[in-house]
Amino acid sequence: MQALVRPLAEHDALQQLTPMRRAATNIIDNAEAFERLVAELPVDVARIKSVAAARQQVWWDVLERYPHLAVWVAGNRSASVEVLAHLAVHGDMQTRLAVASAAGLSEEAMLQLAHDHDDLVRMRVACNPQTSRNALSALVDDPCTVVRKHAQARLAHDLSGTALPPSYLDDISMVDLHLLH
Amino acid sequence: MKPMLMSDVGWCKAMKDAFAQHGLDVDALLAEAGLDLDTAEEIDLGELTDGFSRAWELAVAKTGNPAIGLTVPSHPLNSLGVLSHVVLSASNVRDALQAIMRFIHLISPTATIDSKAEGDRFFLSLQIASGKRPVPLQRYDFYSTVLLRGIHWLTGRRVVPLVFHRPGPAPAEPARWREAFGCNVVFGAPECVIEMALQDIALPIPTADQAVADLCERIATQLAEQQGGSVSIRVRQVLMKHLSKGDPRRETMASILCMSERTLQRRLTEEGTSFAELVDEVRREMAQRYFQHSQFSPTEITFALGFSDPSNFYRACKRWFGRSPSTMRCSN
Repeated sequence: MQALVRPLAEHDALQQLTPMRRAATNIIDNAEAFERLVAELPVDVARIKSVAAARQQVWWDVLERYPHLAVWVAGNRSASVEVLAHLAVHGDMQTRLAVASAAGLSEEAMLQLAHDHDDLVRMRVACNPQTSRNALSALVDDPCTVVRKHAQARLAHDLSGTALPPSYLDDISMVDLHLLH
Repeated sequence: MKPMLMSDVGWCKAMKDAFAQHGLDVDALLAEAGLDLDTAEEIDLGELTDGFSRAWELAVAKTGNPAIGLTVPSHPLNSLGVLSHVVLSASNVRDALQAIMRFIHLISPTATIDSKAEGDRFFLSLQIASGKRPVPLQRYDFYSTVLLRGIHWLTGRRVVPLVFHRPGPAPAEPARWREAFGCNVVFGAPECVIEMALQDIALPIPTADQAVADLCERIATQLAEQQGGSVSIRVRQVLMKHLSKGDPRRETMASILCMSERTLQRRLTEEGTSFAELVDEVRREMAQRYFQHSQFSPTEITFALGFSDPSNFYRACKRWFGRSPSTMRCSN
């Protein structure tokens, strides 16, 4: 119960912050602020990824008013499960790539991406340390050899993918990486 | 290892894509150029690059469009091929370009890319191996266009070079090149160079992912090692970059390619060539290019090709072209 209450309390607290306080705590409260942040030079990637939205509606506004920023929204750590699920079926492949590398994806979105038509996206799912056993299982018969072998190795040796045997990709050839299309 | 067809190599696909956009019958054009890419797995590099050059010459002739090299492929990934994962997972443009430089022979066996930074500028230079015929300038246009569009696609920002240095004489409509590159274009340059602002090279790639980058780097390295027939190509690529530093030595080459001198010699013998032959071929190709596309004096070319003595270059020139360097200079 406490786990459910805390996010709500934090949400309320964010709503009450003054604009100055929001800037200081790396919080944006409208789509324009995020657009300005991404447009700034030099680009501050760490901030783009870590900046929090005062409410989730900000992300929906960004997607509506600045659709070209979808890839950056997908990489933001405060984007909600619902926003990420929406972006998991986005028409732009790069946005789906960013979602597939994200932490905090729902199981449904992860499975959706594990069946993406693009090998590049499925490779991200296979490499995401947070990919579930279910999603990895969906990749063990993948048509792309690298995706298939990586998923199989994680299931067999180390679910996190950090301690895989060095030989599991030994017989990969150029043909196995014929991704394109 | 499963066979790899040249028609599947990234840059071939991009070239065919560009030709198709101009309504050309690609298969017929490639056949006319003598390029049979579906059986070209072990094709000689000289024949291959000549085939590509002939294909571009035919494309220019058939369309009447000397700016056809400025055509943008329908998707940048077409040209990146197996390197798609690597560049998409790189943290910034510089890392992506460095990966392309390291593994370019996986997507384009006839090209090499080099870079250097000076002050607040970044210089990306492109070399294309020539065979018996000169390299059409449209091939340089195409590589440069694809690289710049690729950066745009990766970063989501239109990166405009500061200057584009293009070899060869100015075309009839130079404005088309200035418009395409969005910057000043210097024609008659000694080599093809894209000059960019250093800050553009630092632009981040929003799809960066270190875990995927590491995995893909490992696979690309493995594939590069598996390309058993590519040692001569790699030797040629290194020679093109390093000739100007002096007479090339086999032991230095072996060290650059991370293999023993004996292994290098054995691999080249297996491929029916030798280090000395490759040095001679690359020098001849580069001499031809310098005579055709630069204003370098014979003495300057002597040193650019790594000859320690002009008399050696004189003898080589007579052997290659049947003419002395000064006669070659005058006739070009």
